[in-house]
Amino acid sequence: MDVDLLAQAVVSGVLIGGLYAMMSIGLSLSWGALKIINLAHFTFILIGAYLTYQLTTSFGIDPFLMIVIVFPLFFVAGALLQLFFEWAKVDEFRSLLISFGLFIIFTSLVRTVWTADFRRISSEDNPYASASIFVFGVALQVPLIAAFIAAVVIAVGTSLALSRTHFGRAVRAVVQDAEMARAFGIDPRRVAVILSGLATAYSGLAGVFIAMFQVLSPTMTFAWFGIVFSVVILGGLGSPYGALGAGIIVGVVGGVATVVWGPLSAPLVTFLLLIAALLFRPAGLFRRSTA
Amino acid sequence: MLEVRDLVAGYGQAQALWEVDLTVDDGEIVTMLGPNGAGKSTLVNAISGLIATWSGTVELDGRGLTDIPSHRVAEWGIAVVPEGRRIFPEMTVVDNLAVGAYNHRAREASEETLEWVHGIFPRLEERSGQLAGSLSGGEQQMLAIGRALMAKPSLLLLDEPSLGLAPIMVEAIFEILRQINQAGVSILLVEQNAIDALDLATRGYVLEEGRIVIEGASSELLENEALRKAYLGL
Repeated sequence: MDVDLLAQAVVSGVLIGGLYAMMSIGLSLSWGALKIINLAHFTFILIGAYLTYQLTTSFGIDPFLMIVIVFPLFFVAGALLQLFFEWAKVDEFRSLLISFGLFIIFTSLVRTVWTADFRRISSEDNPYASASIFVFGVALQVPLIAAFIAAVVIAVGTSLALSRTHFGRAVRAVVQDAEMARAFGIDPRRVAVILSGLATAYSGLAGVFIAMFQVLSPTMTFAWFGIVFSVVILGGLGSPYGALGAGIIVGVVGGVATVVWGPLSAPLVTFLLLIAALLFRPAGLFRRSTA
Repeated sequence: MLEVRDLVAGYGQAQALWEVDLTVDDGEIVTMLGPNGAGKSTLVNAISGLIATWSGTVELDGRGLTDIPSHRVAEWGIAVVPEGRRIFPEMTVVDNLAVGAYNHRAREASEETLEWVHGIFPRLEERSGQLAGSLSGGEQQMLAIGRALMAKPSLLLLDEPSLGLAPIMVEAIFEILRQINQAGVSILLVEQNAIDALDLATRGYVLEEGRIVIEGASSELLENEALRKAYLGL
């Protein structure tokens, strides 16, 4: 076995794990804290990616600048979506059905606007796609490094906010006993709206980074389902650090399996890991959720 | 300070309270006695905004509480120690207390209030970093009361704080309620433990099948034949 190749696989796995974490934190928060299994998060990632493609291509905006555009835009979208969920009185089970409907609608929307053709930001508009940094002979793609840093910032920031701030305590109180939280002055609706905004903004950001180094197609979301659900469940619902840790594990395991047994083995090994975790650590590998 | 007029409330289709009238004056301790299922918890929940009232009014210092969103009730000066304590089990003791001081009025003074609460319940200070769910029953009751005090209430509602506690702990809790009252907090105490409750309170009501059937000064209630038979076992 080629040791260099293995080292490359591990390092890339860690970095792509950061991206997986960013793709998963939104769904994890939504599921863990709002009790909404929001499949629309997959389309938020997709739309975030296409929007990045479109604005960089049409106006030559630097892809990294898209972060400050996508974050507030998706925050508002997520907040409005939560108001819709509240209005529709969506519970955990029905959220699967309703958000699957939204998933289909948003996917069709993307297909209508951008067609089913593959899209990729041209290299003039996106100098980062082919940029790599070599560390000890291991090539690190710039977009992946950036995604990894962003994921760490999001995980650490969200976790600190949940544990240290008034808003974070309000979130945890609502998750544990919404009625009591309300009796002490917390408006559970307001908490849910803000949290949904954040969760959606994180998913949108994941899309920005994906657009920087991947070819976009409306059906690319299907490849994400297995990865994101594995990360969310391995990490423990509602746990940002858990999602980060699980993202890295899934990234490394997938990368190493690809090198050792070939690319088709990656999902198999990942899901075996998931099944083992569900058997032995059903609350996630990193127990200590927001709840 | 608290004026409840013609209060009607219930859960779903089931009416639990029929035109209940009740007052708590400034600085008073008032107790609400009654058997299981009489509607005592419904009354507490309706006053504290946990459930919607069907009709009637609840006023605190002349301000109507029935028309405001329920998460504003805390800011207006009512804090509740609910039946079964309902602390946040997977939060630390100190975080539970911080949630108590969430309303804007209480938040500004939360450091001094925390000192006061720690003075009343030194045990809560010792257990600050511990998860609330890991506390003993008595400690959880202290935490539930401490959390309510953190809200800087002018009126404290307690729903059967003695339930499930050892007699010595009940005595301690009632002594602390007296101390809290002397600090200027009015108290409405819902209890089944009639002797201790009447000993603490200046006035009392008896609720049966959703209606107030007896009311009066504690000394009068202690003399009341029907009440002695039903609740005091004398």
